[in-house]
Amino acid sequence: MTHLRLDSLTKHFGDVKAVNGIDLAVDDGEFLVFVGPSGCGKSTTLRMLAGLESITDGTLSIGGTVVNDHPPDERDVAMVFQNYALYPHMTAAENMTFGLDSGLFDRSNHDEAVAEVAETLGITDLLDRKPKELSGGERQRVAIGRALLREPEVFLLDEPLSNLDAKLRVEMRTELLELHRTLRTTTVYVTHDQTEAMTLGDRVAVLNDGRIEQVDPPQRLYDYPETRFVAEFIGTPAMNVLPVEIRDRGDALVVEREGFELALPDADGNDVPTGGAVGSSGTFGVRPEDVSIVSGRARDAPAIEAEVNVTEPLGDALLVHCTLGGAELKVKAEPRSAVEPGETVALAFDEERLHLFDDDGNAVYHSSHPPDDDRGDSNPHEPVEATGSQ
Amino acid sequence: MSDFTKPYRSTTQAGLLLVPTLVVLVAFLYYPAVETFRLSFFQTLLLGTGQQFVGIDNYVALATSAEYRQSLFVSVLFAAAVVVGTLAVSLFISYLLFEVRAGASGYLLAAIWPYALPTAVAATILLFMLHPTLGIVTHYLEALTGLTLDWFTSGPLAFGVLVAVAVWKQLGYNIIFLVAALNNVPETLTESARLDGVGRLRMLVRVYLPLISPTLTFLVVMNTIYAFFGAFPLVDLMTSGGPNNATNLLIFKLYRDAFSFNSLGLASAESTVLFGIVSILMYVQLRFSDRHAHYGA
Amino acid sequence: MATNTDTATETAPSRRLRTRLERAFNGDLFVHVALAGAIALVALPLVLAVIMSTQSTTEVYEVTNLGLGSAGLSNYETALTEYNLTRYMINSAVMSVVIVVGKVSLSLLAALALVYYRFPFERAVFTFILLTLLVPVPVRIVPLFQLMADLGWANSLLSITGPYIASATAVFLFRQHFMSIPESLVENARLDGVGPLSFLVRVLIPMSRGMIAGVSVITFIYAWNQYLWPLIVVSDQSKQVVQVGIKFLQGASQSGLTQWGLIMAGAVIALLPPLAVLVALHRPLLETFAIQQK
Repeated sequence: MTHLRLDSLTKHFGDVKAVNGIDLAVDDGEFLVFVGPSGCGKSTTLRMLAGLESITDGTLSIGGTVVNDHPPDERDVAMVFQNYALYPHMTAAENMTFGLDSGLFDRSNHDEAVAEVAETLGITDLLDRKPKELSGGERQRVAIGRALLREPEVFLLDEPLSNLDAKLRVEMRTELLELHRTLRTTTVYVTHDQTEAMTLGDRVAVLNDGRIEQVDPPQRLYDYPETRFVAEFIGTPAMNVLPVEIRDRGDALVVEREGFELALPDADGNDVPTGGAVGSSGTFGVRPEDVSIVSGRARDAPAIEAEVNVTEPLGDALLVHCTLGGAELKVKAEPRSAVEPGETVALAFDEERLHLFDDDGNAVYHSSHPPDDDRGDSNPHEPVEATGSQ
Repeated sequence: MSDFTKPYRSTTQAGLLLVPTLVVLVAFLYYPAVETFRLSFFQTLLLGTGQQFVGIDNYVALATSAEYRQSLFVSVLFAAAVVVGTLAVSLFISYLLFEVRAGASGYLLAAIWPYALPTAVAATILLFMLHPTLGIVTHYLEALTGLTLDWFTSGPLAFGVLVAVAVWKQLGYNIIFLVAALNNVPETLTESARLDGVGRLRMLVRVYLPLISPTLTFLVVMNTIYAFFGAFPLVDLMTSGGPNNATNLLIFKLYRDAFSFNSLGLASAESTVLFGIVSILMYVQLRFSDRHAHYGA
Repeated sequence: MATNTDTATETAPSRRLRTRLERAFNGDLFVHVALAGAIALVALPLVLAVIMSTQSTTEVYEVTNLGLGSAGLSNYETALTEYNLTRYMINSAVMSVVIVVGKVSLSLLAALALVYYRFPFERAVFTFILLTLLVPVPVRIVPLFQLMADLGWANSLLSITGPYIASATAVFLFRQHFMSIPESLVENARLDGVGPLSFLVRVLIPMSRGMIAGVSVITFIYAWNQYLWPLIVVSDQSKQVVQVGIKFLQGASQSGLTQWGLIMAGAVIALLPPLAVLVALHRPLLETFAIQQK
């Protein structure tokens, strides 16, 4: 059931197009994450949802009602800000309740509700403290408590964890997930951290330059990026991308560049680029974890040779930077591989995990098929009723 | 960036909130200021019963009056002396305050207290301390120098006394701003110079003064305004403009022309001249702070 | 580098002396001594005034008598009672408090409108307020005096407070401060639809305590120290403020001798309230000035 619907939502600041026509449907109870580099329009979009930013064009509806012109307080949303937005002169409890009473003097009693929310978040002992007596994590909890107390239709969270240290961030992530599992309130969450996006979202919308590049569940986003931007943005270290020529070798299509030629495996015959792509240029993509170093004896397949430049031990893996035909290629190798800079190694690619993008950056080929691909060739920019989300 | 930072949009409410301030400003500031300008073209008739348009006669009278020219000259000289004197002394004290590591906050309060000093009180106290016959300070100064410091009869001496009182009174205000400006100089600059062993005086001249130049300009303007407008009690309580008009500042002459001699038109013309002086000063301040805006933050 | 070339031409002994002087000058002791000396010198007239305020007229006339005098506090008593200084002090206090309260209230309201309301000609209104900095009292003194007479305000509290309860500086300072409040705090209130007065009373004012204190100190000292305007507009001695009241003391004489001890006592009394306010609230004052400078 669609809860939030964005139709060609657009925001211009003077001549600057911050958000450039976003179409999106968010299901009731869904946890949707906006992720993208800074300036991609993710926060602006969230602020349009909240009513803190006017909508230049397009429509926004919440629960079937168009709310473009509704002031923020009539939208029944609650927002958690990056800097927590706590009033320094009020205690935690006062911060949570301030604004619930509209008038200057009428202050109704919210003690019970506050106690309940505080219990949930484990901040019962902190209610009488002022923000400056709270740690970053505690402030964040109060800010979340503030939002919970309002029992809104929609939670909006704007980079709520980015001011916390790494360890706390991971803890809060888990807590947010549990909270969402209990409450099942529709949530829109903005972050620039792709790990956070992947771990939290039922679906993740990747934004770039004011547009949605792709909206999908995290694993699908990772396995089947629809654009080169998504391919490079999701996953660390980023996917290797190599400019290539596409050629017909007779038995198969091959991609080639200096010192490197690879036949594209025929994944159920569906996704191989059509003959029309032959002769054109494109970008070949493979993730570092889908490349392996082949030990000397097992070289049966036509090996790809690359020279090692630098090695970075990551602990659970060894990241090897190689040069392949003048381009850099990163390989996530076994942690204790004996690889030295200057050495030439043979590489093998996981044939299930190869990607090809055309010059416009759109995916034209994935070497394997999405599991239940009932979406056909649907344009990712169309509003999509979520399929694999719940 | 956001176009919605202003949460309220009722023009009526905004108007109601602004009305009290605007009414006071229009009634007691704008209207009298405009009226001053108008009056400067009129001459009040006997006992203020009527007004007669006289064109620029009042201005001509000012321009041709030796007394007024003398007053203008004295005022400009007074302002220059007050500005230089105040800045020199307060810069000296402020720099020491900035350099002192231990007990800085205690020293600060002891140095800025003259900010609370009313000009009339300063004038009264120094009138006695510097009194030609009874003043203890004068007594020891005379003993030390062998001179006779009778500023009741010597114009230049009286002028000097007024400058001293004005500087004394202005110290607090200047020190507050100078210390703040010095503390705003990035600490890394001080530290890197200290590593190089740069001396105190050299640091002041080569590093700090250029960096706090916006504040210095601001203080030059504020001290000038004080010298032109705030020094009235000094003249009124200490010298009454004498001896020989040596301390007849514009503000004092204006007061006497208006309220002792009832020459309202002429006084208004003098006010208008003063307005010209403030305008120029404010303009200088604005231009300079604009040019140095990039130093901030 | 530069010192090398400077000293190269000097003889060795003079160079050594110079270095020693330089080192002393750059040492901490020098700073403490110089600073203490400067502060003492600045405070000297006041200290002398306090001493002499305890002396009888004859003692004062022995110029070099630096001991606490025989008059004790009697000069203070005489000034406060016989010379009406109590009345003047009360008048000054009432005037200053009215100006502080009025100016702070009016300026808070104006700043609320300027920062949190969208209305036509915002910039023009702000400029209109700021431009009043160009017209200090002496620029408009004649018509203002006539206006007070026409309004029937002469000799009243209204005449010495009314023209001062609105101020470009205070509006400017509050506006600056409001603009420095994080946007998200304002948006937080917007999400809940908090009304303007509620926002002012429950958010802005509590968050501006330091600034309000700073503006109050500046205003109080400024108001208390007024001299020219009360001198002109108040002719009834019993309505006069203490700064002008000191002038009346100057006429005090005893068998042909000016009672300087008494005058000094009056000067000290007239200085005490602003000095006390400064000492008590110098912290917010300094913070406020730090903003004004920008």
